[in-house]
Amino acid sequence: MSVEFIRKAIVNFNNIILYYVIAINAIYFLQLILSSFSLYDYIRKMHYSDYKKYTSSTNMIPISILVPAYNEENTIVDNIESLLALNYPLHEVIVVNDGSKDDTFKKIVEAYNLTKVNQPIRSLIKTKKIEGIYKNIDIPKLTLVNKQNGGKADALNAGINLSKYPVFTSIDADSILESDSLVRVIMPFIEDKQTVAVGGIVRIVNGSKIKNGRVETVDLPKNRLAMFQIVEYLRAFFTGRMGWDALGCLLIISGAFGAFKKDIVVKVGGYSNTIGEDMELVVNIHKYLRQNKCKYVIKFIPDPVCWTQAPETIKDLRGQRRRWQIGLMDSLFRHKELFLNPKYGIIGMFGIPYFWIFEMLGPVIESLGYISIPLSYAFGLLNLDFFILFLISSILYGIVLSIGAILLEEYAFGRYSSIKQLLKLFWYGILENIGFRQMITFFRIDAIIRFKKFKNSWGKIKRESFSN
Amino acid sequence: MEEYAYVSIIFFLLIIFFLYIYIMYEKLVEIHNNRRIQKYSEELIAYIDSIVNEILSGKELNFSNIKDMKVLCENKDKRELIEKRLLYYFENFKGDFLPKLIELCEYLSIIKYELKNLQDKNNYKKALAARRLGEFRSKEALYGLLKEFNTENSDVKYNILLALAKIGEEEAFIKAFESIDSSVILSERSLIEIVDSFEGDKMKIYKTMINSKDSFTISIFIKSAGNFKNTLLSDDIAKYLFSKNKELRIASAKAIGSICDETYLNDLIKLLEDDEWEVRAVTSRVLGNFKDNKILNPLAKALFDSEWHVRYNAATSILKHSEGMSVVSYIFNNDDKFAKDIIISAIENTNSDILEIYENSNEQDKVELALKIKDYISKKNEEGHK
Repeated sequence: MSVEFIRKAIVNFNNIILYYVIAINAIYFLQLILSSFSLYDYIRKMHYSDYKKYTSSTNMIPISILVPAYNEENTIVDNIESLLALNYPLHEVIVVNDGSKDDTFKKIVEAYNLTKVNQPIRSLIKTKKIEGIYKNIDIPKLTLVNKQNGGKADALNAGINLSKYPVFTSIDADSILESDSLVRVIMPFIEDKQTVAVGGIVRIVNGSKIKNGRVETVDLPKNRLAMFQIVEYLRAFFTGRMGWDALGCLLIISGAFGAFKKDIVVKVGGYSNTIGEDMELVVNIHKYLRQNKCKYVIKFIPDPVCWTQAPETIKDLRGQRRRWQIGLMDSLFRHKELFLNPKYGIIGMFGIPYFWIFEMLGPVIESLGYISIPLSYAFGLLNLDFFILFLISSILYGIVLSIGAILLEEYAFGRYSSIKQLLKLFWYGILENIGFRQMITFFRIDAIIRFKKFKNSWGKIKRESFSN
Repeated sequence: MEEYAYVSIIFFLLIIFFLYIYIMYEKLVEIHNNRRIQKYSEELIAYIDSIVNEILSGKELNFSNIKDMKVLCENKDKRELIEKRLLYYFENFKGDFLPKLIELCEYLSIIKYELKNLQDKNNYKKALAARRLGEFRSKEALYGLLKEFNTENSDVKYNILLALAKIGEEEAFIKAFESIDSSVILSERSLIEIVDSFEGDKMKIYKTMINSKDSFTISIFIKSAGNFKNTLLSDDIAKYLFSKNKELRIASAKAIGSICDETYLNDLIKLLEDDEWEVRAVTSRVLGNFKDNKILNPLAKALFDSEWHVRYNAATSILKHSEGMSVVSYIFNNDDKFAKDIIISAIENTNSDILEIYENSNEQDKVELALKIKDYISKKNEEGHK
C-alpha cells in the first residue's frame, strides 16, 4: 500500500466525516424545529382535552399494566404500590417474576399476602413455563405471575397471555408512573381509533423526593452522571421522539413506558426474545401493518410521565448503553429488508436508514474520526486551524441542541422551575460535550464488539429503593 | 472552508446567547403576567362570585348590576378570567339556575366571542371554542356549531359533538350524528361517551337513532342505551338480538343484559348457541345479571363451550346466581375435569368467598361440597408442583 494511497484514503474519509456531521446535524435541527411545533400544538390541545372526564368514565378503555421483574427486590414493592394507586377507572397490574434469583418473589407475596390460584392461561404467545399465579382476593387488581427465567420479552409475553384487557402497557419494575399517566397515555386510543401504540416520556427520578410510591418534589441529582443523563433524556425525548413522531416514523417506544393494542401485538407474535425488545416490537408493528396496508398511528406524547432511576456508576451506565446499542443493532439486523424499501413508506426510506447510518454506525464513524485525526496530522493532512474551528463549531452545535431541549421542557412543562435548576441544566448541557459524550461513544463501540456475547441477556442495573 | 467554520461558530454562539436571554425574558414575562392575572383575579373573582351566588340563590338577573361586567369583558385578560370562572360554575354546579347563567353568558357576549373563535382557521382555537360553547350550553351556538361540523379535524369534531350533547337540543344532535359513519376517526368509546353526556331528551335520541339506517350509529346508540338502563328502550334494542350483523348482536345482548329486562331472557339464552364465540361470551357474561333459575341449565351447558371466554363467563355467572352452587355441586359430583377447572378458576378470580361460607355452614351437604372443592384444588396444586 503506497503512502499516496493512504493519504488519499485519509482525505476521502475526512470528507465523508465532514458531510456525515453536516447531515446528522441537519436532521437533529429539523427534529428540534418539528418538536417545537408539535409541543406547541400539544400544549394547546391540553386546554380542551377531555382526559379528566375519562378518569371516571365507564367508557374508558380498561388497561392491563405489565411489570416484568428480574431481581428487583429493592424497588418492586414501591413500584406496585404506585401502580395500584393510579387514577384510572379500570386497570389490572400483572407483575411477572422472571425467575429472579433474589427475594423479588418473596417480597411481593409477603407485602400483598398473595396466595396461589388456579387460573387457566391462554397461550396467545408461547413462553417459558409458568410456575404459578398468585392473587389476594382483597386486591383484585393485582396478579403475580411466577415463571421460569426467559428474559424480559418472555416475561412480557407471559403478562400478555394473562391480561384481560384490550390495551396493555409495559412498565419497568424500577419505574414510577404519575397518577394521571395512564389516562393520558390512553387518550390517543380514544381520540383516534387508528392508534395502535403510544409512548410516553421517561424522566430521571434521581434527586427527586419519593413518598408512598409517588414523586413528591422534582429536583436535580447531585450525582454528575445522573445530571448528564437528565440533559440527554430531555434531548432524546423532547427533540428525538417528538421529532420522529412529527415525521410519522417513531421506531422506538421506551420499554420503560408504552401502551399497545393487544390484538396487534399478538398478531406480530408478541415481544421478540431480544435485548432490545421495545424497538423490535415497534418495528414489527410498523412492518406488519404496512405489509397489510392498514392505516395506523403510533404516537409519542410528552407528558404521561414515567420516572426511572438512571445509573449513577460508570459500570451501570456502560451496561445500560451496551444493552441499548445491542438492542438497536439486533433489531436493525432482523429487519434488513426494510432498509431503503419504498414498500414501507417513510419507515423504509427514512426512519430505518437513519437508524442504520447515524445511530448504529454513528459510534464507529465517530471513533474512526478520532483515529483519523492523529493520522491526518502525521501525514501532514490536518489543517489544524480548520480542525479546531470545526471542533468548536460541533461542540457549540451540541450545546444548542441540548439547550433547545431544555427550553422546550421549560416552555411546555416547567418541571425544573427555578432559575437555579435551569442554569444547572444549561451548565451540564455544555459540560456533557467534553468527556461524557465521548465516553458514551466508547461504551457503544464496546457493545458493537461484544454484540454476540450479550445479545440475549437481561442486563441489570443496581437500583436503590425508592424510599431511600 | 475556514470561513464557514467561523460563520457557524458565530451563528451557534449567537443562538446560545439568544436562548439564554430568551429563557430569562420568558421567566420575567411569566412572573409579570402571573402578577397581573393575580391582581385581576383579586378584583374580579369576588365580583363574579357575588353575581353568580345571587343567581344560584334563585334571584332574577339584574342587568343594571352586571353592566360593569360587560365593560370588563372588553379587556382580553379580564374576559378570559370571567369565562374561566363561569366555566367553573357550569362544570361543578347543576340545577334550575342554569338558564339564568346561560342568559348571563349571552348578555356578556361571551357566546358571540366564542362563536367567532369557532370560525378561526386554527383548529386548536376552534376545538377550544367548541368545548367552551358546550359548557355554556347556549342554544345561540347551535347554528354555528352545526355549520363547522363538517371538518376533517377529529378534535374539532369531537368537541362540537360534545357541545351539541351538552346543549341538549335533540334535532341538532341527531343531525350531526346522522352525518357520521364508521369512517369517522373518533373511537367508538368516545362517541358512546358523547351520547352518554347528552343533556336533552335522551329517550328521543335513542328511539330515533337506534332505528336509523347506519349499523355503526345504531351500535353506538345501543351501547349507550345499555349505560342508560331504561326498560322502555328494550323493544327497540331487542330487534337486533338476531341481526345478521355480529356487532349489533353483541351490542344488543350487552344492552339487554345491562337493562336486565327479563322479557328477552329467552332470546338471550338462545344467543348462547350463536355461531360467533364473541356473541356467546358476551351473552354468558350478561346472563349473570338475571335472577331467574332458567338461566342455570343453559349456563351449565356453556361450561363445555369450545371457547375459553364463554366457559369462564358462564362459570362466573353461575357463581353470581343465588342457586348457582347447585350447578357447582352437580359438576363436582361428576367427573368432568374441564368444567371443574373453569369453576375453580372463576371462584379464585372473582373474589368469591363462597367456599368459606359453605365450609362454615350448618348444612352438611354444603360443608361437604366446600371440602370436595378444596380437596380438588389441593390435588391440582400438588400436580402442578410435580
